[in-house]
Formats: sequence, structure tokens, C-alpha cells
Amino acid sequence: MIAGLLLFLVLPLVIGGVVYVFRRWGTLSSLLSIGMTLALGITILALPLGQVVEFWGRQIVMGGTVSFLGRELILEDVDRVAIAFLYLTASGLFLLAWQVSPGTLLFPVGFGMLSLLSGSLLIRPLIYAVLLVEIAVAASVFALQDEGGRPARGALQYLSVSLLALPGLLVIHWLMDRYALTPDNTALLDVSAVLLAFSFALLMGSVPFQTWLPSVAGDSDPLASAFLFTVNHAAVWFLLLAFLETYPELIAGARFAPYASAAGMAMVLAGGVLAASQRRLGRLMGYGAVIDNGAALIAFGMASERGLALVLLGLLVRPFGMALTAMGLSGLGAACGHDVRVETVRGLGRRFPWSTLAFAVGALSIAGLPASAGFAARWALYRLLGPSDLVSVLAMVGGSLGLMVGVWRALSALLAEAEAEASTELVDDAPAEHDRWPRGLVVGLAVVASVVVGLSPHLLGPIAARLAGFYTFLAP
Amino acid sequence: MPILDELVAEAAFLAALPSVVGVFITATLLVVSQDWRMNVIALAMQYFFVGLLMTQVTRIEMAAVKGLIGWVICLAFYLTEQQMQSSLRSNGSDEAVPLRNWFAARLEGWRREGISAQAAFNFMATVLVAVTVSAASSELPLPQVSGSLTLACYVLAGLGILLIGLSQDPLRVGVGMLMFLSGFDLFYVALEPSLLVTGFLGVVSFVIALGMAYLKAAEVAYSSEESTP
Amino acid sequence: MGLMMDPLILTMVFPLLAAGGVSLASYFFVRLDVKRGYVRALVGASLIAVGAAVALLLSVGDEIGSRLVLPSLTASLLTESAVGVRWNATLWPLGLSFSVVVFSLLLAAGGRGGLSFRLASVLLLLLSAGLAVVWSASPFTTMVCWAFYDVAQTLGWLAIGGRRGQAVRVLVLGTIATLLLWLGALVSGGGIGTVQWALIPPGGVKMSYWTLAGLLRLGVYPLHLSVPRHIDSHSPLAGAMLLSPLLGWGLWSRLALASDRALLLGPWAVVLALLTVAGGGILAWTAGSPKESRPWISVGANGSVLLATVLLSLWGGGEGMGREAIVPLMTLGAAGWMLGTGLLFSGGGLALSQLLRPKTLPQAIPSIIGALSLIGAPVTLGFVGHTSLMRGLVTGARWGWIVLFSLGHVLLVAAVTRWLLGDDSAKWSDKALGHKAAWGLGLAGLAGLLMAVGVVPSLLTPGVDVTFPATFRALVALPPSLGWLLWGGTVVLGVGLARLGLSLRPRISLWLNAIHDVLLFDWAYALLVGALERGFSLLSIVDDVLGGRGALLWSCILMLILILVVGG
Repeated sequence: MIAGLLLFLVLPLVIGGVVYVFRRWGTLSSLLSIGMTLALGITILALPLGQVVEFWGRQIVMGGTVSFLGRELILEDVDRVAIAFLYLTASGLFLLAWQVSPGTLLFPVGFGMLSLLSGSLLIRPLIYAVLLVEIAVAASVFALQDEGGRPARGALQYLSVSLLALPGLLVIHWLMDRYALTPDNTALLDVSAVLLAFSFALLMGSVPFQTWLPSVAGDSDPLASAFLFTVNHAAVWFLLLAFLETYPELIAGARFAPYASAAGMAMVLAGGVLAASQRRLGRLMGYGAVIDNGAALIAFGMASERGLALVLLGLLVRPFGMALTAMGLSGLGAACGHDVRVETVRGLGRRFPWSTLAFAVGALSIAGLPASAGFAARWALYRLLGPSDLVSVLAMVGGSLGLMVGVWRALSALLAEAEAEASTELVDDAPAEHDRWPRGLVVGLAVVASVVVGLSPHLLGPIAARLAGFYTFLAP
Repeated sequence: MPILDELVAEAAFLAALPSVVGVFITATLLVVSQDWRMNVIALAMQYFFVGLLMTQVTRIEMAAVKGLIGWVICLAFYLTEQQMQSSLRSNGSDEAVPLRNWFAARLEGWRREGISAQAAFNFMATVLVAVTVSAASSELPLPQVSGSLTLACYVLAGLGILLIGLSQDPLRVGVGMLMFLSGFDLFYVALEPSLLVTGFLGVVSFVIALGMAYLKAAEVAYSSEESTP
Repeated sequence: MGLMMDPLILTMVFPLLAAGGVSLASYFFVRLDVKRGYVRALVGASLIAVGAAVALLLSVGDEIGSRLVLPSLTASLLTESAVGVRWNATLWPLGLSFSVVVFSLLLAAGGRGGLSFRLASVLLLLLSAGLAVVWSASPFTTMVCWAFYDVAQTLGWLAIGGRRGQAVRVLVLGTIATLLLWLGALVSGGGIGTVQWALIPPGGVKMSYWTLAGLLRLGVYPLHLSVPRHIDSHSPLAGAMLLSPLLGWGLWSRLALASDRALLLGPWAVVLALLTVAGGGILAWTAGSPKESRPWISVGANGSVLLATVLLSLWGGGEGMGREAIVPLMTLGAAGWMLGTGLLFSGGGLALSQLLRPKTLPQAIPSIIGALSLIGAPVTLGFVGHTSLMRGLVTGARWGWIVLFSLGHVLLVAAVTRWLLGDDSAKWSDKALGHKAAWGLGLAGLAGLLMAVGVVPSLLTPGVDVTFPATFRALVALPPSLGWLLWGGTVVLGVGLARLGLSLRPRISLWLNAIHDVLLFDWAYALLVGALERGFSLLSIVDDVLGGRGALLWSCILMLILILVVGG
């Protein structure tokens, strides 16, 4: 009998290796990646917990507790949904990557990261989860560096910041063990709370540590950045929730709420203001992630199950916006030598209509404007938060507007008439690229999916609400 | 392991303050120096001193494993830089120097870089950080570890962050990260002596080193393409 | 399946399917090397069929009944909202007029030339989105439909050959208006965004936000950014790009209904409306050619409707048409403006000598009706708004307003006359029979509706239970003599100016161009954008410094400062 859990940890590594070997054949490796991630994502949802299932003559059992190197791997319902989300999001990103950058390291490294991040959701105690996340972050560098492209300085910043977050998270475990022995010593609790807040502020890109997000998005492969902003960030959020579920004393009395709200507000305001000034389209995506993370923190600051559900809803819809924006940037980058700026994309909208559409719709979704996927989450958040905290809502609207100013600037350039002479910034020997119909088809499908989700908030809302219900550390 | 025990016993006099001083000197060298050969040597020495310090709080075997991991990382960095220099030479951007003039060229390079404005600034920053961490180590002692270890941890962490902040070169940033990680590892091994944690931290270090090497190679390849007409 | 067969849904789905069909047909037929003539015939037949279906559905009126269509899914803890549409008898005239205009333009394009498949697809998308806005049941749905309309309009802007880089203006204005609508829903709290329009409680801060949102959508001068500056396309379909004020009229009508027939307007609104009339008139008159004057004529005519609405809202009207008649006034006025705009782009362009020749009568008569409606002449739908406008102006008795309106109206009349008698390349007599039939049908549809409703206004106001002149005779009796004098005087002066302009224009064209460019305000917006960009460039520098070399150290320094500030 095979423990199903181990399959989700080992199989992605094996597939990643196979994909790496075959990456010379871009389409083959891409389709293999898409298919396997889709299959794994569906499987973990479909297979019942605790029951034996026969597959190819082998008996597989999902759920329960499995021992791995002396540590426990525990699969619960909440973990199933979380892991499924990671795999399905990766599948969508791989689908888009197939069109714009097949055969890159995103595919094999992505599988490695999925294995590590899945492990982080399952393993106990949490110090190992933290270490697995850290290894995944370190591995992401290989995917973020665009092969043959500019140096990915953003990846350096990302890794540095993540490394700074590591000590705090590891020490919390020790501090809380001591606190369990001496509950009168509230200083241990206070220090743990501060370390937790600081570490996750680093990981989520809270002000003033938000600079790595736009740097990553600006310098690195766009779809790899999108992978980071969706899959990695989701894993970070689930890690935070696991910490709070394990140590509910850390947020007893909801003392964290005003700090989370304040941090979130700072992020949306800083993100909005700086996004409005951006002339590099990749960094716009990064600031979009800052704003979105800020909105999630504000929702978390509601200190209720509803607020948590809003956070999770935001995570669920985020891939639509990030993936589309990244796809657009990849397509446009092919024509600009990967230096996607307002000056270099002038008039490209005509030759790259699908990439332009993907960029615009994706940015719209990140900003949370109608009628995109992101709108579903923002509408719910504003509606529930508005009566009690209108200032935060106005800040988020302002942040979205700031992001749109940057997008409008980019669109003006994209839609403008092309310059008569080639810009000196353009790659001299760039082929006359243009969007081909397969890319158009994929973009079209993605846009339709985004619009459908935006028009039907009740598609993902119940999933988010159900996920939030699994956590007990917050009041209903 | 009797041989290892004997070696460590011989070097026991280094395991306290001398190691701390050694850590500080190597860290300073890493921040100030721009010469990759010196940096690799300094990093290797640093791992030696960190390993010695670790013997105060954990088993000798664990400390040896950590040291070994560090030296393998140094080897990886050395090979990467060596490869990069070769590729730069083959592109004509770095002239080959005959062996008899090699030492003279090196001295000249150290003199030029050692008293450059960049080096001076880095040194001043190092002094500043050193004073700060020294104050911090006395004001905020770390639990479960001695005062000298606390100081070493703070020095490594502080100068590691400084190096990360000052550099853009992937390998130097990687060295900074590894310094920071060493400093934390020195402290954390006292709290959590688990072998699996040690192993994971080692894997983290490894992947960081490999990642930085990859980024360095990509950077050199990109700049070669840019400089090629 | 039942959902899809609902007549209300079909009014939106048919154009959408037609848009898809036209796009696919043009794509595949080109690749299969089918003759363009067959493609045109097929596309034309499909369009007529769809148009007929939509018109039929709409003309059935409230026999379709009230429908609240919601996706039937379980209620969610978070999201009680869903897209919903509902039949609205009050806004039905807007929907009908919009549909008639779009299909008339398509027919005219097929007849006189300029049936671009791409533009036709966009127009059908525009129609679908516009009807969705009209039928939207709640602020949430309205916001979503506005977004679709903005996208369709942007695509249309690109398709008609407007300045491509300026197409983003449509999105900018649209997004700001949508955000205002959203903010209005938020400030009132309690989930009002998902409440049906008909059930929204009156009053509150939300009304201010929503009024502003509507104002932006109406395209008042000087916020006329969504009007295309240069239309390269000769196609009549370009006229549909000017119909976005429909969204504003729809919203204001709903607000008036929700607020017991009162709008949150003050004397500032009168100034804006007057500026729109005057601005539209001046820009139309100073435009380089009759073709270029068309968008500004439309703006000026819309301004007249706005002025009539504002004056009625402020001064209440009086006997025959009270303040409560504001909603039918808006819907009929907007309908007249839309139909007139349609005729602007499908008719006109007749030399004076040809105006009453039998050969050109099918082109001339609808064009004349359109011109008369735009200037508010009796027996046309435009007269409905102008009667109230005249009464309001005279009743208000502010001479400055009267002078400003007169100036604008004189120039508007002159511009309309110029358009009517300006030389145009499309000649009725040169067309084949089939083309003539299509063109004629398009023109007849627009002109017929303008006249019919002008004579019997109650045709488009079924079930209106307020004091509103339901007959032509009642309308004529509304304005005082001074009002008639004012209107007549401006018309006479305008025609005279148009005649004078024939000889004067070549000599003062430079001055006219200069005035046109100045009043277009593009230079002002460019200055504003430039100033903002300078400010943003400073932020960009800060961003480069903080995010560039030493980013981590900068972050640490900022964190220490934060700790000192907060801790201190």
C-alpha cells in the first residue's frame, strides 16, 4: 500500500526531472507538465480521505498520518484544497508558458517547488515547513533568471528578504515551547508575536520591504514571477495560517488586527503611488502584487472568519490576473529584447493584440475592477468592510487607481501609432514577431475565464468560505 | 571519531575568543575585499572558525558536517569564478597574465581595490556595523549561548546583511547570505540540535550557493553578449 | 435553457452572437477566398434578421413583462451579489432608440458604403453592452455592464481610425465614472450595491457620487474626452461611438426615479450644460469640414437635452410639465439626440440645388428631419426637450444664460445647416437598387421615429403617470412667446451665419482652426498630463533609488525610522 501523501511529494520531483531532460522539446515537456499538474490537482481533490483506492494494481490510501524521516506528514481537508489550488494554478501557468516560453526552467523548477511547498503544508512540526518553503524560495531563482536575459537582480532581493525571515520563524517554535512550560512568562509570547509579524511582513512584501516584488517582476521571467506571486504567496499564507492554528495564543484578543490593517493600508497606498509612476511594465505587475497583498492584509485585519474567507478568495482569484499580465509581458518582451518599457513598446499593440489584451485584462483583474476575476474578491471585501472601515476601502480604491494610471500609460504607448524609425532601444535584429493564433486562443480562453469568474463571485466564494471554516483561531 | 576529537582538542584553544576574532576578521575581509580569490579563502576560513565555535554548543560531528558543507560551497564558488574568468578571458575582456607577473599583478590589484573609495566606504560601514552589533550583543544576549557566541552570531548576521545590501554581484550577495545563515545557524543549533534541521539548513545553504552560481553565470553570459558587436 | 430563451436576454444575446458570426464569417471567408460580395450579402442578411428580432422584441414593450434574471446558485457567505437584468419600462425608450440607431447605421453603411466587418462586430458588441446597461437591475450589474461598454467603445475608437493613443481616454473616463458609482454604493453601506434600482432608498451621500458618475458619462464640456477627435473612417458606423452618453442618461433616469423625480443638481449644472451647448456649437462651427463637425453637433445637441433637464430640475417647469416629468423628458430627449446623431452619420451631404429633387428625396427628407430635430424644431422629437428648455430659460430669466445659450444654439444651427448642405462623396443616385433600399431603410427608420414620437410623444412613454404633454399640441403650448422668439431668432441667425460662412470661411479658416484647437482643450489636458508625469518622474526616481542598489539597506533604514517614529 502506498501512502498517497508521498506521491505528491515524490512524483513531482520525478516529473520535474523528466521534464528537465525533455525540455529541448518544448511542446512535449509543456504538455507533460500541464497534464501532470492538472491530474495531480484533480486527484488530490477527488480521492477520498482514509479510503484505499486501487490504481494500476497498486493500492493507494490518501490522508491520515505518514512518517517521513521521523517527522509527521498530516493531510487534512484544508490541506487538500490548498495543495489542489497550488497544482491547478501551476497547471494554468504552465499552459500559458507553453505559448510564450516553452522549454524554460520554469517547468522543472516549478515541479520541484510544488513538491517542496506541498510538503510544507503537510509536515509537522512547523519548523520543517519553514525550511521547505525556504528551499523552494532558493530554488525559484533558477526559474526567475530568464535564460539569455538580463540579470535577475530581483531574484537576489527576493532570496535575501526571504532569508531574513527564516530565523524569526524557526525561533518561534522554541519560544512557544518554552511558553507552554512557563505560561506566566508573557514576554515569550510578545517576542514570538513580533517575530511572526516581522517574518511574514518580509515574506509578503510589507512596507518597507516591498521593493523585492517589483524588482522580481521587472527583471525576471514574467511567468516565473507570476508563479511566485501566486503559488509561493499562497503557500506563505497557508504557512501563516498554520502557525496561527498551531499557536492561537499569538493572536489572542485580536491585538494583531490594527497592525495588520495598518500594514495593509501602507502597502496599498505605497503600491498605488509607486505604480502610478512606473514606466516599466514588469514592475507594474510587482506593485500590483504589493497592492493585492495589502488588500489581503486589510481583510485579515478584520479578525473574523469572514475576513479570512476574503483573504482566501483573494488568493483564489489572483492567478487569473497575474497569469494574464505575465503572459502579456512575455509576448511583448519578445519584441523588445525583454526590456518592456513605455518607450520600447510604442505601437506594439497592433502587432501583438493578444499580448496587449492579456496585459490589460490581467492588470484590470489585479486592480480589482469590473468585470474581471479580481473584481469578485474586491467587491466582496469592500462590501463587507465598507460599513465599519471606509478609510481602508478608500485607500484600496486609491491603490487600484494608482495601478491603473500606470496601466493607462502603458496602454497609451501600446496603442499609439508606431514610430516611423526604429527606436534605439529595440533589438536591431528582432524578427517581425506578432501574436499567432494559438496564443490568441489561449489568451481568449483565459480572458473568458477571468470574466466568468468576475461575473460569478459565487463560483469561488463558497470554496473560500469553506476553507476559512477549517481554521478555528478566529471568531466567526 | 577519535581523529576528529583529537584535532578538535588540539584546536580547543581557538574555540572561544580567537574564533570570534577570526570570524570578525574574515567577515570584514569579505565585506571590504573585491578580489574573489581572497573572498573564497576568507569564506573557507570563516567556516572553519564557525565550526570551531559550534563545538561549544553541539556535537563535534555536527560541527564538522557544517564546516564540510561550507567548504564544498567555497569550492563551488571558486569553480564558478574560475569559469567566469576563463570565459571573460576568451572574450578578450580580461587579459591573461604570465605566471611570473601573476603575483605582481595580484598585489597591484589588491592595492588598487584595497584603497579604492569603494573599499574605504565598505570598511567604514563595517566598523559602524561592528560597533552596533557589539552594543546589541551586550544589550540583547541570545538565550542558550555564551557571550562570545552571541557576539559572533551578531557579527556574522550584521555583516552578512551589510554585504547583501552593498553588493549586486550574485556571488558576493550569496556570500553575504551564507554569512547571515552561518550566524543564525550558530545560534539555532543550540536551540534545536536536531540532525534533520541541520540537514535542511545545509540544503538551504547549498541551494543558495548553486542559485548564486547560476545567476553569476547568467550575468557573465549576458554581459558577454552585450559587449559582442 | 429557459434562461437563455428569455426575451430580455435575447435582446442582448442576439447582437453578441451576430458580432461573433460577423467576425468569424469575415475571417473564414477571406481565407476560403469567397467573393467579398457574397460575404457582404450574407452578413447584411444576418444583420437585418438580428435587427428585426431585436426591434420586435423591444417594440413589444412591457408585454415582455418584468424579469429578474439571476444565476441560481447557492447563497454564499461572502457574495450575495449576482448579475441581474430587469425590464425597465422607463428606460425602454433609450433601449429602443439605441437599437434603432445601431441597426440603421448598419443598414446605411451597407447602402452608402463603409460596412467594415470589424466595425460592424464592434457595433454589435456595443449594442449588446448598451442594452445590458439599460436593463441592469442593480448598481453591481450596471458597473459590470459599464465596463463592457467601455471596452467595446475603446475597440470601436481603434476601429474608426481615431487617434489610437487617445483611445485610452475612453477607458480612463469610464473607469473613473465606474469607481464613482462603486463608491456611491460603498458609502451608503448595507450592501446597497446589490439592491435593485427600483428599491434603492432615496437621499444620502451616494446620490452625489452617482450624479457625478452620470455627469462624467454624459460627456459634458469640458470633460468631452471620450469624443473622437479625428475619425478617419468614412463609415456611418462611426456615429455609434458618440452614443456613450446613453449610460449617463440611463443612470440619471434611475436616480430621478429613486429620488422621487428629483436630481441633485444646482446652478453649477446649468453652467456645465450651457458650456456643453456653447462648446459643442463653437467646435462644430469651427471644425474644418462638415464631416468633422458631426461629433460636435452631437455634443451640442446633447447639451441642449442636458440643459432642459437641469432647468426642469431646478425650476420645476409649471403647468403642463411639472418637475415630475423629468424622467420622460430625459428619456425622450436622449432618444431624440441619439436618433439625430444617427442621422448625422447616415444622411446629409446634399447640395442646395439637389435638396428637393425627386432623385435625392429619399436621402434629403430624412436628413432634413434629422437636422430639424437636432435644432429642436417642432414636429420632431428634438422639440420635446427644446420646449422645456425654452420655458426654463425664460422662467429662470438670467440674461447671461440666455446669451450663452443663444450663442451656442446659433452656431449649432449654422453647423447643422452646413452639414446638411455640405458636399459629401456618397450620392444616393449613384447607388444600386439594393444599396438604396438598405440605405433608405436605415434613414427611414431614424426619421420615422423622430417624427412619429415628435407628434405623439406618448408613443415612447407608455404608462407614464405624470403630467407630461402627450401630444404635439400640448408641447407647442408649453413655451412662452419669449421662448419661441428666442428659438426662432437663433435659428434664423444660424441659417444666416451658415450662408455667410460659405463666402467667409475660406478667409478666416486659420482663425477658425485656432479657435477650434484652443477650445478643444487637448492642449490643457496635455499640460495636465505633462505636469502629472513630471510629478510621477520624481516618484520614479525615488522608486529607482529605494529599489535599486542597496535596496535592502534602504528598507532597513526605513524600518528603523518607522520603529523610532511609532515607538517614540
